[in-house]
Amino acid sequence: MAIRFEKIVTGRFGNPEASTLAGYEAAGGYQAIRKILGKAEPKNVIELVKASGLRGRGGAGFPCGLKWSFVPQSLNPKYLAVNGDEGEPGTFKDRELMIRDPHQLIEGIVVACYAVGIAKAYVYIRGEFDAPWRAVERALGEAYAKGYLGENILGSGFGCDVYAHRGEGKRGHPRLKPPFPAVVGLYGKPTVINNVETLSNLPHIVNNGAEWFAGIGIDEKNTGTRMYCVSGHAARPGLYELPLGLTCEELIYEHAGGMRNGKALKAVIPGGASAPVLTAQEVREGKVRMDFDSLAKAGSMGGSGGVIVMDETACMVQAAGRLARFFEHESCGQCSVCREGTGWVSEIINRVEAGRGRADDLATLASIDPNMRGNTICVLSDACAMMFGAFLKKFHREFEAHVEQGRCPLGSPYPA
Amino acid sequence: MLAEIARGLWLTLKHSWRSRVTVQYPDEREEMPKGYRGLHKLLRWEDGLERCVGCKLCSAACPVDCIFVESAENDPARPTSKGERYASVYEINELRCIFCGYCEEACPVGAIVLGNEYEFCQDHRDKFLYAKRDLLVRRTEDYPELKARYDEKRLLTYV
Amino acid sequence: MADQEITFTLNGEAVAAKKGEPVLEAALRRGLHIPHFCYHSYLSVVGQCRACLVDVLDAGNGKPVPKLQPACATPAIQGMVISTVSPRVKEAQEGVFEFLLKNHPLDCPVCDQGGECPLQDQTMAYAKAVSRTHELRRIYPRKELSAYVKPEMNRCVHCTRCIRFTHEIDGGGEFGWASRGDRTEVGIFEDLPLTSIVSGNVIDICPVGALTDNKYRFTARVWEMAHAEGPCTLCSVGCRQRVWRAGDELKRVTAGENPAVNDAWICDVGRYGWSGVHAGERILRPLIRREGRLQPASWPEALGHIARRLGAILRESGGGAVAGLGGAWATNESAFQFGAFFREVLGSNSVDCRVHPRDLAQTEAQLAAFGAVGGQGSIAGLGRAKGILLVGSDPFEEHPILALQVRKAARGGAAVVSVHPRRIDLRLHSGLRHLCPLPGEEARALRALAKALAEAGAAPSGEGAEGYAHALASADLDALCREADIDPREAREAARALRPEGAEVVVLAGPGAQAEAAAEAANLALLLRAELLFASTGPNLQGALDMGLHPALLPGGRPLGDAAAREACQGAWGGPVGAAPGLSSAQVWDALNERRVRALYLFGCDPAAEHPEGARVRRALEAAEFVVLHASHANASLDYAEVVLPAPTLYEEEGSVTNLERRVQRLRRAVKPLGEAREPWRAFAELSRAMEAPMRAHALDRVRLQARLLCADYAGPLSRLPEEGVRLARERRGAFRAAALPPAAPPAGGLRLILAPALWLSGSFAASAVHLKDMPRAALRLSPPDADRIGAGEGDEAEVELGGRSLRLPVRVDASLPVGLAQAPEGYLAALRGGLDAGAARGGAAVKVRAAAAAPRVKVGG
Repeated sequence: MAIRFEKIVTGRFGNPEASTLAGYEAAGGYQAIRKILGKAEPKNVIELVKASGLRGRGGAGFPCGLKWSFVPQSLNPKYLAVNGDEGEPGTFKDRELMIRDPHQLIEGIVVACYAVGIAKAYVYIRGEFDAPWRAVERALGEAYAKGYLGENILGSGFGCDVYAHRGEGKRGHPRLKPPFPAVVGLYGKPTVINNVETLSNLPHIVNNGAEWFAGIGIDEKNTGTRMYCVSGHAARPGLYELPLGLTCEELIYEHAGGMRNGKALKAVIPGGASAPVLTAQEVREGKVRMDFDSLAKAGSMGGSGGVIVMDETACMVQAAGRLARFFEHESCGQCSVCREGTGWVSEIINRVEAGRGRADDLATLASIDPNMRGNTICVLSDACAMMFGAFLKKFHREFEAHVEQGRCPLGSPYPA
Repeated sequence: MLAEIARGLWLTLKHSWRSRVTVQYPDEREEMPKGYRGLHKLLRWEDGLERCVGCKLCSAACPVDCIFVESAENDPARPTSKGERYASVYEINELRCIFCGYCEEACPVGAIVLGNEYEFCQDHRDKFLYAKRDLLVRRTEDYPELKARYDEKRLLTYV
Repeated sequence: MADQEITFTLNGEAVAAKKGEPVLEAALRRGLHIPHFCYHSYLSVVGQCRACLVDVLDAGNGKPVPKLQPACATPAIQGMVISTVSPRVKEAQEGVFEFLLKNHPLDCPVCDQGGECPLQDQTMAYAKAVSRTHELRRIYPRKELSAYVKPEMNRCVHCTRCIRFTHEIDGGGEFGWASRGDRTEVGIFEDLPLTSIVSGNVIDICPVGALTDNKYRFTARVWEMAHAEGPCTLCSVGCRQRVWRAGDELKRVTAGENPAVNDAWICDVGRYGWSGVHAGERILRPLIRREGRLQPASWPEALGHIARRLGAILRESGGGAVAGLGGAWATNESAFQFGAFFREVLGSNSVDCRVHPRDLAQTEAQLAAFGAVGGQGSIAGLGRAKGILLVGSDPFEEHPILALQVRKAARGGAAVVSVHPRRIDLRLHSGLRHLCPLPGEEARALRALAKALAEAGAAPSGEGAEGYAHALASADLDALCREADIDPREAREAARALRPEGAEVVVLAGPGAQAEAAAEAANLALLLRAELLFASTGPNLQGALDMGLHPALLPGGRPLGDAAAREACQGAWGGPVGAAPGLSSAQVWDALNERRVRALYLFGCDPAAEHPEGARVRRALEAAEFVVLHASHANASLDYAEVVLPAPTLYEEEGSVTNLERRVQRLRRAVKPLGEAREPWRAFAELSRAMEAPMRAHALDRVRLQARLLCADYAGPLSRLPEEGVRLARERRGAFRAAALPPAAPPAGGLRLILAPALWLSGSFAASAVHLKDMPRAALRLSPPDADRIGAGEGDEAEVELGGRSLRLPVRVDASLPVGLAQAPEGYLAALRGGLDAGAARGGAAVKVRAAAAAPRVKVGG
């Protein structure tokens, strides 16, 4: 199948004016809400999004329209929580979307609010994101001033408020599900949670139609584009918006300029820290495509779109150790399994990397892996297990060499 | 009849050739076998701190209830034992004790052991109530034979 | 249908459950154990520890659930099939325990939790036997929490039960957590110390040895101890508790579970009050005053002495010359025997358990309204009420467990209205409204509230309704509010919040509800068709009254004038019972001064110290010819006694007690009576023998038999008591009493002092309990402007001058007090006794306060 190349959410990235309201409007912004507010039935908007096949760009790839239809219409108030946390190593797409084209996000939020019947949306932006925070705040101010937000938007009778927030006022903890956020979410009310990139796609779907969107991408289940955050040993690391269904090799060699210094590819993490690593052999022989379903079939996942490319000089134990530290640091501490497990895993892997590995360490690691999967409130523990499980399985020899030699055979400096 | 007499004499003769088993106590003393359960000792760590943490497991394990322990909190500046707890009172009624060794078995820190000593006669019943100062050794190194009493690998060394 | 009964299958066994209830709860009730740490029946479900993971083979719809589910957060559904023994559950359990033990120090021999530790026990049952950890264990910086709770946070498994307890139940929110990952630390905020009066519960709920009891620390191990389970006897709530003893010594008290009373919580007074049992103040043998000094004597000597003296007085002046006070600190059986001794042996009806005028006023108000005392409300009703009216009640200080019930109701959406001179603190963020009348004007504020309710459509109905409706119709809301110094708007809002129709309302009258306020509280309860609870201070005041310790009421609450009732008593006791009412506790003092009463028998009470009219009481005690003190602790009344008999405390006695909601609970002996103390019912029987008029009831079962005969509703409870006790409820029907309110007091200038009981400072028992010495000290509370005016800061000493006497008290600056009002703990002002009369005590007595000494300033930081 031929893949149509077209930029959607990053279409205005070359235009420095696009971050301002005037620039955004000049570039065709705020047309989507003019088209639907007061004119289209909200349930038709949901149908449109369902027909477009848009899947969540945050990590799990859950169909967006389906998610919206789970929200009970009778319960009010309802909220939209916009996930602009982007905490996964290797991912830097939402940051750019919020900085370069915040109005696109705001328009997407209004579309979503209109479709689901939400009067209040909260954009959660994490504490470390200062520039995105300022950009979104400024854009919100502009949008309010122009009447794109607030009561009675564009005289349609529909109104919604959008706030940039940095939390609910509580310690950041995943909550027990069920009840799911669609029923009991923010402030105990029904809540839709969407990623920044997902929402940024909405104005385009409204403007150009579901068929146009579904036409981009490899099949009807993997439609539209994906923002790939290529980092690591690629010659031209950076942000690439490409249609779903491209192969991994195409992404690295055609778009990201191939491997740095002509070194050989050793491994790719295709979807952020949680996605199981793929070996060069798997990438090459399996012709792994970078859409949600192909990656799942290859034993990894599309995740958050962070593509970490590693060449032959990279020590896989060090890479796993570095990622394990991320999980250890980010574990909220609620579930025993994750609180103790991530710390333990990190300690063992980094011990092995430092050449102080014990003979039974790899066996211990292998046996911790299943215990960390599926047994916790959220999937951080699973992500950690998937990460080190894949490294351990696919690069077992390298781990063994570390333990046997009592040092890193690749001589990579420790700590990284 | 003669045969029976001969058999009896033969038995006597046989025994007269055997080595003597009588020991000329107290001029002579037999070495106690490994695992002999004699008078209790309370041991110390190498740094002189008492091993006993006053957990009372010995007294719980004792089938005849002859061990009495009271525990107290260590003064962090001048600790008696490792950890927060120590035995402020440790008494064993040696008359009641049946030397079963359960206390030793129960002890998580290898503090109470049954030593080789069996010569502890007294002239008054009260004197068989051994207090902590009677049981506590000055230096554990002075009793090398006690080392075999506990499996060091199984001790709790957290403290 | 929330209470729909369903069944599911757990490991092949059928388990009955309420629909939607956690699978774990139903399994535990059925006796099937699923390991768990963070789950607690009375706290919210968080599903954090992951130890209770189960395999849902069939979710009730024929389909399995792919992932393992936490049993604590899995609602029971009809037809569910669950396994806790499948290989993948086993593997998950072993994994969870390995993770839990990853950083848990193996110092069980040192740890006080050892032997009763859920982590220890469940590790033995569910974990792998080998440890694979070689890493150093986590060490937190050492911190202290309070005098009662000893932290060892290295042992913490982060179940967050303590966090949830302090946020949800206690409301103080002291515990929280910091950091993330395996550095996650549970602790308290440094500027928010753990001072709550229910803080000790975190010790009970901690599933490891991270929070242990500082007072019990290292004193015993759990396997050495035996425990008795029964009601707490330090206040009238009667929380279920476990009293632990090793040998003949009490070691500690832990909470028991009684969903009808205290859920699973007890207050720190209940938890540490037991230390009064072994106090030096205990009376351990009989004493007889010889040559002006109390000297030890044997029981026969003491009983012979009493018999001789009482016998002489009886011969000379008849039974009316002997009066008895007390019984609220005794078992029902001993109280019954006390009354029987007076009525049968001495022929006197002057026996009264209501020593404090407040108890007298409250019980008389109830008798007037309902014809009986108690039984009009329930503690559980308080917890599930939709509206609560607190009258003169500060539950956190007076009856902490009632405060938790009020909080529970408020969290369930109840509106709470407090009528109290102070803005009392229930640690609620919302839902609490204050009406703060001038002290002594609570009744007027209540009448104003009733008027506002009538305006909102509440109509009195039933006996006396007409008169009351008329009184309300003629009342002027604004004038009432002006005189009581409350805002009529707030009174109207409070009335709306209490929702006169349809909602379940509970009126809780505390110690501040005296005389007219108590009567108005009863009227309001009738108007609101509400449950009514009077929270008295004596632990068994209710039981003592039911047992007939009232000058005009016989056992069972039957009036003395009822000939049939008297006959029944005669039938049981053998002697005739006089028809003329005896003297009440209010009349005894004048009668003693006038020599109409010559002998006074004080049974477990201390009027010399605890009666607010101390000077008058002391004069009367001095005038008394013969005083017997029969008590467990030496107290101020000891000075007037000629004979002292030792009584056991309620920790040392078998019997039954009745709490403020009229729940009869079985009291089990926790430790044998100290010294020569013997059960009072036995002492009375022996005394009657010494007086050569032996009572028929000479054994406990005989006492119970008589009590069962005479107190109709106790017949069941006294023969067979279920573990949670039996609540003897009464029909909620009474008569309105539209008494005219006393004229409003002219506005008083200067500082007024009100007295309020603090549970840990009231009574000689609490005073002798060494472990309660670490509770907040007795203090003079002043509003911030008043404190500024006299120039005293928090902790400074102030000199309080009242009626010509003065006393030094530390100052506590308390923003809940209005300007011009000071508060001091009742019963602590022994030195000030002369200055207070009842009227002043109710309306607030004029005091002069000046700063006396600054508190030593501790240099902070540096």
